Amino acid sequence: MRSRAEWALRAAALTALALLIWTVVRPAALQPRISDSRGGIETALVNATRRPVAALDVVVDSVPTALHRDWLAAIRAAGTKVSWSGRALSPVAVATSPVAEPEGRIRVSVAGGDSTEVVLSDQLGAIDTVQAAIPSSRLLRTATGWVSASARGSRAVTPVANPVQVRRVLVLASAGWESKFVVAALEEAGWTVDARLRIAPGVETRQGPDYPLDTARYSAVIALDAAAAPSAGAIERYVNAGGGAVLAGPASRLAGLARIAPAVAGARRVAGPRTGFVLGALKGDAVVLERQGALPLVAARRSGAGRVIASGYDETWRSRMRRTAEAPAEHREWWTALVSAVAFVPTADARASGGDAAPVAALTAALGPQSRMGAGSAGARSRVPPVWMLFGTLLASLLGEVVSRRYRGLA
Amino acid sequence: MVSEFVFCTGQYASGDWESAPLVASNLIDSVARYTSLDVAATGVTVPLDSPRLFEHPLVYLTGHLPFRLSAAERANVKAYTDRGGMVFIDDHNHDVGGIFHKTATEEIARTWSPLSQLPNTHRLYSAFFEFDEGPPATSHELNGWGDNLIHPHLSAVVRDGRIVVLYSSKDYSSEWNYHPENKKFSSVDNTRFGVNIIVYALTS
Repeated sequence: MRSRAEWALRAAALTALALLIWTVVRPAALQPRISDSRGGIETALVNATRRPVAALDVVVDSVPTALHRDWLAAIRAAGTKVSWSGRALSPVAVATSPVAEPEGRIRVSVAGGDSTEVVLSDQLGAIDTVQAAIPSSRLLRTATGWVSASARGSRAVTPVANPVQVRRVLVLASAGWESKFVVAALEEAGWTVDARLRIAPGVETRQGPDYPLDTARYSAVIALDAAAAPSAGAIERYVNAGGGAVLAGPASRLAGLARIAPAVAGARRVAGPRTGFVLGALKGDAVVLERQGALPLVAARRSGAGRVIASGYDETWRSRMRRTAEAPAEHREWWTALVSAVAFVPTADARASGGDAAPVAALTAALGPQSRMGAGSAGARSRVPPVWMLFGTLLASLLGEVVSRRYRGLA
Repeated sequence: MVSEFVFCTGQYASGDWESAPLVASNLIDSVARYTSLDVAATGVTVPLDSPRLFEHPLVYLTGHLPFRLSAAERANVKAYTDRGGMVFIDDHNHDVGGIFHKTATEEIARTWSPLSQLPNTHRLYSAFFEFDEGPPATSHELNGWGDNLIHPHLSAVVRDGRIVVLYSSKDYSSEWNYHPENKKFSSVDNTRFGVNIIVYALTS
């Protein structure tokens, strides 16, 4: 009986020894899978880097950091099959961009999964909570350092975009209530406005210096009517060089602007707080920004390096003169939004400044979609016992055999 | 043309707001004659307490009798100027001792703020025609009628560099209150300053 036990111990010691030798000398492709658990990703990455494995299953309960994602991607690139699984992570993403306006606000755009409640924060603390089932955006007057969007194990971070410096705006029009109140609205919003307002043939009133129309001086040009016709060539060159243009009311009908106009003001008019013409003859690449029912009223397109908006509205001043407390502010906001949408502002490439704007998307891009294999699993699993266990088994078996043989008086 | 300029005469509850009925047609004629602005062939009369006032961002007021605004008129015209409207008030008496001047200046101070003298270098005097010496004198001033004074300045309530209320003691209402056809008998059109007021309102 004792002899059989000693043989068993010897066999166990030899098996452990063989496994230890096999662990050292076996080829990587034949090594078994390693699954790692929550919190152990760092260890798994170190182990998988030191001793290449055939496959690595990562079970996560939060999105790995950018460093760990890059590390996993590198391991995969070295020949290890990497998969990941875990609890449902909210695919939240956040981006910031400067608004081209004098106030210098920052637009924070957030996207998330279904009914995801996303907490927006900056370096100083929480800012707001948004439902990000559909992409939404917030305009922030200030944000410090970075902006993060957090939801269900996912935290997207992006640096705050630097506010942009807008340049002057040029208004070309006949003297009239529309031109007067467009200039007033933009000036109240903080824009520096130059104006050339035609009063009579060869006579115009000028506001601001007589600069040439170029992107070094102007963020946008606004043409309100046929008074802009003599400047049509300059407007087209300016837009194609990167400038922005708003062609309001009948200005989009000018023959000299036909190549850049997204659409042409038709004959049919619509009523409302802002009255104007329905747009027609939309170019193929034009995007309709505002409709009344099915009738397009504002459309935009790119032309060269710049952007152009055609607005059918030619009497927005009437919306400002409505006797409601918020009417002037709404008129101001509307015109600022229109000009901001096309304004030329030189910006630096925000991608160079880092951040982790869409971590789940980045994880999927680096490692592929989530695997079902390990979903919901927890704890470390290995198909080959770890080295310390093999070594312990070897020592215990040998020691047991030696002790047994001594008791028998053989050793 | 829907964006055309429509000359608007303000109707107030007190006094004789309709005392210079030909001023509107005369100034409309001048604007059409000298400029390329789209201008309606006829003017309109709008009560000062009417929401329709907000469709005409320049309103002309005149009269000989006491000028008092009702609470509704005052609130409406105040909101009107807050949104960018401009009020031009002319003393048809040409008399700084007269009842219109006294009551109108009091009402202006009550509704907006006290009038201040408008410098003769103001953009109003070069908005279209050049008036290097300020407001042109009227025949009533030169003939010694009314207060027997030639007023060298106009007065105004100015807000953020913009004239909100323009006040004249020069009696342009008498000066411009004739049929436009009769301009052919004048060597110099005396309504040219009226064009400046309208162009200023449209461009400032």
